[in-house]
Amino acid sequence: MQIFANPNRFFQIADRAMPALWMITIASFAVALYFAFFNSPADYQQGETVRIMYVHVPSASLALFIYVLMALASAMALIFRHPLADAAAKAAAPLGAAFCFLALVTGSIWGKPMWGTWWVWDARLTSMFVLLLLYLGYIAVWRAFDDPHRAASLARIVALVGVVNIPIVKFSVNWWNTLHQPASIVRMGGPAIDKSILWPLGLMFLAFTLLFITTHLVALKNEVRARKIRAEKLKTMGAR
Amino acid sequence: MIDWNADHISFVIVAYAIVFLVLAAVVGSTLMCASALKKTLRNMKLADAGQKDTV
Repeated sequence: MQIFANPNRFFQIADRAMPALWMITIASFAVALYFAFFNSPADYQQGETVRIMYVHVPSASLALFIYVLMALASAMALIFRHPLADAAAKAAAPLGAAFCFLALVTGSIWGKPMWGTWWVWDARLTSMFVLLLLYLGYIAVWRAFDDPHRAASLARIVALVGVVNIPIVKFSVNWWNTLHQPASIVRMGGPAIDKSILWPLGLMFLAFTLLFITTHLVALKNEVRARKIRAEKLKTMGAR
Repeated sequence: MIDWNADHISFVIVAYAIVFLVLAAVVGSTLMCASALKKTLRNMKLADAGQKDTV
């Protein structure tokens, strides 16, 4: 892990991997979209609206995964003082917020024809909305302070306290009676979805994850560059 | 194979349109930010080098 602690070393590795990552991401999206639209059946109850699942589930899973990643990075920053950990958490936050927003919006669009309503305040939907607020709060903390060290110390606390919400989102459908369906992929006894639908979902999940990894690398490089610019400016001001 | 005349197909199209618009916006803004930061850093280095030359 310490190999990546040196920003220059990190830039070298990221630059080398970037073109291949973009190509694999675009290719996996093309394959996943082909499967989602042309090589998977309609659901016997939901009809064609089941295809919303191929974008809804990966968005929701990534929204949860990215928050856990942010909390782990914040813990690493707090415990090991890893120089890139705070930057990694900060760069991931807008991406997590976007995926969380997409999960809420696509869920709402899927809910209207299936449930007859755009929104209900049930445990899953509400806890997911709280997750979006946590993302926005985390981003706001970074922007609220001029001193990045003060912002970082408060942002770490937001990320670590907010991670409590993740098991609540995941198990809300088991703990409470919700309109949202219970877990059908990651559950005891294996997935409850037919393979003809599970494969396109897996491919789309891979495409979304690759997009996150690639964009996160670019965002992390941006954060390191922004810090360099800030340091250069401070140096110039100090010289005057 | 998708049936483009099925019930509620507009919900599917709108959902996919929103997803790919938002993802394009996120990726586009990140890449634009990268290019702007790269430019700023290069200009700063050039300015720094110019200052040293004149000194």
